Amino acid sequence: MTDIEPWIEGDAPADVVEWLGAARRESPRDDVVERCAMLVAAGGVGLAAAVSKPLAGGSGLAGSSTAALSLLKWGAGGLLAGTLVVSGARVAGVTTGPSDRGAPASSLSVSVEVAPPRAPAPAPMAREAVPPVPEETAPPLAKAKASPARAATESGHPHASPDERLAEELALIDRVRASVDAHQPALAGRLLTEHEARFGKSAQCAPEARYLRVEVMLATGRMDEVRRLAREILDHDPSGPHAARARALLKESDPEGELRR
Amino acid sequence: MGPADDPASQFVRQHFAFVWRVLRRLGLAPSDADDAAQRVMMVATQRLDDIRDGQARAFLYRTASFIAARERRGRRRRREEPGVELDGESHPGGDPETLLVERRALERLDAVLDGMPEDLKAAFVLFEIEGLSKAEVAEALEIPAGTAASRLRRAREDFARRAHRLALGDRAKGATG
Repeated sequence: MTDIEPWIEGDAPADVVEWLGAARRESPRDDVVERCAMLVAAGGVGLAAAVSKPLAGGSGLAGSSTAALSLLKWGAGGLLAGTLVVSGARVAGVTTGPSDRGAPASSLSVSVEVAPPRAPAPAPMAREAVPPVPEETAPPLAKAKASPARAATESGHPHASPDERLAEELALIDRVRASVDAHQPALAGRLLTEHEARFGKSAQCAPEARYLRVEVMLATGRMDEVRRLAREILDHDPSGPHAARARALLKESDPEGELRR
Repeated sequence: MGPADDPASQFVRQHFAFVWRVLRRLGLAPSDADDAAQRVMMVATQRLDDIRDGQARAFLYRTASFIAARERRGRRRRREEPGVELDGESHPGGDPETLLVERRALERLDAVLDGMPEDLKAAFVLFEIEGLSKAEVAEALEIPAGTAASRLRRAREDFARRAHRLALGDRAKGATG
């Protein structure tokens, strides 16, 4: 098999080289990166609930969490230097330090609603603390940080933030995919049923789930279902990543159903 | 060791720019990419334990493409307007002339990428722009290595064809329409 080298090192046209270079050079602002780094440090679960709405929502959404979020979007280019302390549901305000760009610090109010503060607990201690410490006395942060994915998945609680639910959903879809790859269509089918039960037909990963269900139907020889789902894919997402395969499946399939996988 | 040095923060600092650039080439404007990249990171840092060494970008790409698709469905994806802002801070030392050239290059690139089929575009962006290896591209797109290689070749052909058409369109502008 001949190998393939990046085009830019080969015979790409000059203007393409220029374009690719520009794309490589484009980068996010440093303060945007740093803000994100601080946000994830301040604690995943509760904070995700607070900041799960887009920062750039210029459409004037009501609600205190959104009002506080607009504080997080630093038009003045200041850096979120202080510790972000949040309650489970609302960010009422943030503590700030002086901007490191020399601009005057924004004068934001500092009233904060605080449930158990999450930020100060260092991560390594949190991770180590879980095994030897009895369940009842382990600080909440230790459990949350040590296995945030499992906590979120097992919680199943209805007030999980959109990002937590997406993480759960992606984890489940990954498991479906793994079972399809491992030629375990029965397991994959059960997981897909679980996916639909937990996340509904309008789930974010519904297109992916539908496509995986096609794979399961193919593996179990249920061609009528294959055709039905392929048509659904084309109805919902005719230009999406699975459309080409859906079309191919419909074209190839016939009552005698000799399909190549 | 303070909160800013924990594994999640380090992960963000290491990979945020990659996620952001990918989202930009998936059609998001810079400020939308800011938000979407943050969401990708919120999801990813909750699953750090599941991400194996050397597989971070593949994982992040998959998450980013889900989130970008959702953004586009939710917002009816906006075309980049000619006057898209390129923040001077993201191009250190950028004088107005350079910024203009860079902006134009990105517009052209995005115009070509826009028309490409999703699977080809993804392979192209990951390999030609982000420099993932063929194996990493295969992992990110969850396809066999051989499929990745052929997809990359097809992506180049498709890209070149569209770029050529774009260039022809420019030269013909105002002539036959």
